[in-house]
Formats: sequence, structure tokens, C-alpha cells
Amino acid sequence: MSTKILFLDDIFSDQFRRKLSSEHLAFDDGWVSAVTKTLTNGSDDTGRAFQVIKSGDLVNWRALVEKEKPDVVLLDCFWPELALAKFGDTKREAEVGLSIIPEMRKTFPELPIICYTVKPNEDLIDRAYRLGASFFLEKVPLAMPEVQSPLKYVVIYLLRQRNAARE
Amino acid sequence: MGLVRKMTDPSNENERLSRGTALLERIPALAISGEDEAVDLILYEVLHFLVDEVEADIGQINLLPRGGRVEKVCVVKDGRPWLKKGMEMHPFNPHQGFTGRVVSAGESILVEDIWQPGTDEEPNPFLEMPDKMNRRYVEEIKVPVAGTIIAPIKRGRDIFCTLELARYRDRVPFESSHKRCVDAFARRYGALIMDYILDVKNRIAVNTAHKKLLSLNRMIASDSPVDYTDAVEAYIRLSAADIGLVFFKTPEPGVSNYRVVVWKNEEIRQVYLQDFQPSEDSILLDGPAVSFPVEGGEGDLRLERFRRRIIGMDLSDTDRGNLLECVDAVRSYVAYPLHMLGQDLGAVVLGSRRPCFGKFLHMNPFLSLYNSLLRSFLLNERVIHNLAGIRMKIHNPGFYCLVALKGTLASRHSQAYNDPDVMRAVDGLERLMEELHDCGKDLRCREKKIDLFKWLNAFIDQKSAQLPGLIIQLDSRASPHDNGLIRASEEQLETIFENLFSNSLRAIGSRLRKDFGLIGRIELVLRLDDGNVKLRFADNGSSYATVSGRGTAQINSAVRMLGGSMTRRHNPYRVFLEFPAVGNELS
Repeated sequence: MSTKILFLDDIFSDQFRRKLSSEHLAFDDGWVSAVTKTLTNGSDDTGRAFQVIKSGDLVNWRALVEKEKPDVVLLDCFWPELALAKFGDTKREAEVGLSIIPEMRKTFPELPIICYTVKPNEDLIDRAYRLGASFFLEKVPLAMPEVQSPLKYVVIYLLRQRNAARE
Repeated sequence: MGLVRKMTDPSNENERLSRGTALLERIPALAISGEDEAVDLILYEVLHFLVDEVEADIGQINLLPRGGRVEKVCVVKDGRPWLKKGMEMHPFNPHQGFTGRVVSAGESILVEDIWQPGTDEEPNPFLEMPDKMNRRYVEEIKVPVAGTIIAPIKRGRDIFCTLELARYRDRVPFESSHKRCVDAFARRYGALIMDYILDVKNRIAVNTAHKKLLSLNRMIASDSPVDYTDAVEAYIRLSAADIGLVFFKTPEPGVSNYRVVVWKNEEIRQVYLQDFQPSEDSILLDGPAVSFPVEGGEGDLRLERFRRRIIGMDLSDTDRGNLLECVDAVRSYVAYPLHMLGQDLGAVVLGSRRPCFGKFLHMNPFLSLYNSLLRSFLLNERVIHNLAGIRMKIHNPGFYCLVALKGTLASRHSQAYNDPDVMRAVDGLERLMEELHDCGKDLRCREKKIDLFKWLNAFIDQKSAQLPGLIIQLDSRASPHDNGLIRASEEQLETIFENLFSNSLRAIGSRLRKDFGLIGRIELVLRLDDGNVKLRFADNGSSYATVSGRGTAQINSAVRMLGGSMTRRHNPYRVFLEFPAVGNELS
């Protein structure tokens, strides 16, 4: 059984990548590689295979969800470049990321949404849950798959919750 | 015969005094609304009185305050107001024509025919002007008349107003007795009434400055970008400038970009100047080469230099055209700084199409206060912007680098990772970064839970005190156990309700002009329904002329920011607002 994860992060958007130097991108890319590896290496006994769809196109999230039909969405909270384009203000980066949650929750009520960011604060966690997030994780940008493996178990937990609710 | 009797009969003098007293009694009642319309109504009454006294066909009042708008404020023709908004009478030049003579001599004048050719000894000063004047004004106000009386109104020796009365060419000409009558009015009531009008205008000016500053304050507190065009409106409304350029330096460190808001008459545009490096003695630098305020005029070094640079810059044709049109029209200007604490924040250039107009262009106390506070807001905005930038940099790449360092130490240099001195240094670095990260966060706008029932009660108490002539009713249809908790900031709620009240006041004012006995009423009905806090807002005003209806765009945007919605119904006009109650949240 394969579990499809839609991974929405501005690190996959050209708009964001153009703003950062290759040294800085290396940290994020290393983290993405570690997350992907922990989900897709297939060397564990969880009984689940994971497939990761990566996208930096937050604006068209609805079309993506309809096309890919993911089991879980992994959503980065901070989108500074998109906030700059939308509001002319990078300070509203979290507003942009979180803004899709209510709509996603309304259109796809059963779809688990996992939010994450580096060093989250209480206010951000509170807002994300209030808007309909299913789980909030701290992003630990270490390029070590072992450090990222709890994500896999969070996904399993959320899917079990969803199935239990269906029954 | 009847006219001569009216002017000379002593019993008529008593009647005139009694009419003058009646006029003075009426004026304060007209000022109640405290809006621009109040000034128009008073001016019309005064001019109507004067026109009637000397049986004139056309009357005009011109204001010439130092540091305020020099303009024709009222023109009456055939007993009806002729001057309307948008007619561009603003660039009235008090130094030219017969008015110029009155201003320089300080005495009133009676001209038999303003169109009479002058002589070499005594040229007709009016004849140089019609080509430069507003065509409609010349055709409808100047061409039909011959005899004209112009009288100054003085405050000490300072002439701050002139009255102008004219008769059609085919009428019996004015006599010196008419001039004496106008002089007597100017001497007896003129300064008193015009000072009162200026006081009302100043009150409106304070309100304007206050509203703009509140709006800016809320924008900064709510993390929204500043509306620069709106911020400039105070300069347009409160200064004598008919042309202006306001330069705002963008807050990013290490770059030199400017937003320039330009206006000419009623038109206002915004132009972005990228990589615009000011010259050494530019007003855009807070350096020793400039002492503010800077006065200048057509063809001076600054204007010419700026003109050349605009031509050489990579701008769209429209932007270049807008800038050049303004710069080329300026004959005199005064520049004030927006700089503060050695930070180059920008400058305000108040310009005029009239030469040597600097003394009128200087800011009045209200505008000066507004300018000072705007500088402080701009500095605040820059500080917030830069702190937010620092916070973001600490977030990414700061924390990423730190985690990478820890990870590398743990995986490749376990000995160093376990060395207490190394870890103390790494932990210290992390604590420092977290502290700096939180400093940036502290300045950000944070929403809180606000009970809308209680908040509105407090807001309405305050409004009722400010607007004693209005009935404001709040009907809370909620049980004592209900709370109207919504997630919002004070500033967002103030933006919504200040705008709603402001719209209602204009609507009530509009109906009051037709129905003098009306008592203004604003009704709010608030209830909790289906997990939402719902509000109905209504007034007993009538529709008024605006460019885009009742100016609800800002309200709508603020309501949507709170996750709410807004709908409007007409006939009667009502606004319905809906906010998600905190109890309705997903968790």
C-alpha cells in the first residue's frame, strides 16, 4: 500500500530559490533529501510505502490536490516571496502559508495537513490548529534521515485516525 | 432712486445692522457639521448677504492665508453658487490683476469696467490675465461684467481675504456709496466672520490630519503596508500647493529606491524610482549641504537636475510623463524633510504654478504637526521592516547554519560535540539567535481575543461623547451567557468601525442639507448566531456623491483579514458584518 504525500514548500519554487545563495540552499536541499530518504527508502518494517510529490506552487494547491489525490499534505508555513508578490510585504509570509488551510479543510475535509517550520512559536501553532491543521511539527533542518523519521510515524498516526473516523 | 435711498437712508442703516446681526446669528448653526460643506454654507450666506446689499450680480470671496490654501472659496452668480469642486480655481494669484493692486495698497477699489483698455501711464492689470485664467471662469464670470468692487479684509495690516462684487455690463454702474457699504461690512464683520471660517477650516484641517495619522498608525500596528497616496492627501488638502512631489525612500538597507507620489490639481500618481542615487546636496539626503525648508523656483539647479535625471532614467513613458508634467509646471516650491535621526527617509516638495509663492507654500501648524508625525511613523516603519528582515535572516539561514553545525559536530566530530566548552558556546549562540528572533517577533501585530459586544459598547460610548448631536443605539441580542469573542486586533476593529461611522456621518450630513429638522441616527444590532458574531449597521442618512460609492473597500479588506464577510443592502442602506466567533474554531 503506497501513501502519497504532497510536500508543499517554497524551497521547490524558483521564485524563492533565486533569492538564496547556493550555500543557503544546500541546507534546505539536504533537509529535503533526508525527509525524502526517510520516507522512501523502504528499509523499515512499518508496512507502508511512501511516495513524495514536491511542489512550490502554493497558489495552485487545489489543482494539485485534485490531480495527485494525496493521502497527506505536508505544508511549510512561511512563504516570504509569495507574501512579497501578494501583499508587497515579506512579513506576512505565515499569513500566505496558513491561508490555504481553511479552504483545504473545507474542500477536502478528511485530508490530513501537517504544518511545519523552523523554531515555531505558540502563536503560529495556535493559528495553524485553529485554521484546521491536523498536526504541527518543528522542522529540524538536519540532513540526517534518522532525525526525520518521526514524520513517517506521524503520517501513519493521522491516516489511522482518519480511517477510524470513517468507520 | 430706490437704490440711492437704500444706501443712504439712516433707517436703512439700522436695517442693515439688523440683517448683519441676523447673519452673525446664523453662521454658528451652519458650522455644526464640522465638514467642508459647513464652510461652503457659511461662505454662501455671507456672499449672498453682500450681493443683496449692493445688488450685485456676481460675488466672490478669495482666501489668502499664509501657509494655507490660497483660493477662490466661493463664487455666487445670479443668487446661486457657481463654484464647484474640480473647477481648478485653486491657482488663484493674489498678486496680479486688480486684486493685486488691492493687496499691495491695502485699500478697496471700484473699477468701472474691468475690460477697459489701459493707458501707458495706467495700464489695466486685468487685461494681462485672461489668457492664463480658467477659460470657463473668464467666459461665465468675467466676460459678462463691467463694474467691480474689490475690498480687502485685514487682520492688523495683513490682508488674508478679499471680497469681489460685480455687476453685469448692461446694469447701472456701482457708485462710491456701494464701495463704502462693502468697506463697512469688511471693517465691521469681515475679519470676525473670515477668522471664524478659518477657524472652522482649521478644525477640519485638524480632523483631516488626525484621521490620516490614525489611519497610518493603524496600518503600522496592523503590519499592513503604508498607503502612500493616502498619506500624501493631507499635504494636498492642507497646503497652498497645487503641485507636489513627495519622495519616500524604501526601507531596504543598502539600496536607494524611492516611491514618489506626485499630484497636480486633483490628479495623484505614484512613480517608483529604482536605483535613484541622490546628488550630494540633494534634499533627499539628511546631510550638511541642506538646511530645511528649502525654497526654490522654476529653472533652479535642483529642478533642472531632477528633470535631466528623469529623462535619463529607465521609466515607463507614463511615469516619466507624470513626473515631467509636474516638474515643468512648478514656478516656485518649498521642500520639507521627512528625514529623522539621521535616516534618509524622503522629502516633501510643495509646489505652485505661481512664481515667488514660497511664503504661501510654507506649512501651516497643522500640516507641520502632521509632517513631524509622519516622519516618526516612517522611521517606525523602517525599524519594523529592518527588524523583520533580521528576524527572517535568523530564521533562515541562521537556524539552518546552527543546526548544520550541530549535526556535523555530532556525526563527524563526536569528541567536539561532547566537549562542554564547545557545546556551551554553541548553546550560547543558539540562545542569542532565539533572543534576536523574538525581538523581531515582539514588534509584529498580534491578534487577540476581543469580546465584540464589550468592545462596541466602549467604542460607542466614546463616539456618543464625540458626536452629541447623534443618536447611536447598540442592540445586543445575546443571552447573558453568550460572549462575542472574535480574534482581532484593536486597530483592525477601529479601522472597520471608524470607517463605518465616517460613512454614516457623511450620509446623515447629506440628508441634513435637504431636511434641516432631521436628527441623525445610527443603529447597530449585534447577535451571536450559528457560531458567528453578526452585526447589522444602519443609519438614517441619504446617499452622497463619491467616486466609488460609500468607500467600503478598506472595511471589506479589514473584515476579510479577520476571516469575516461583509454584505451591503440598499434602500435603506445597511451593512451586514459577520465574524467567526472564537468558539467556532476548528481544533
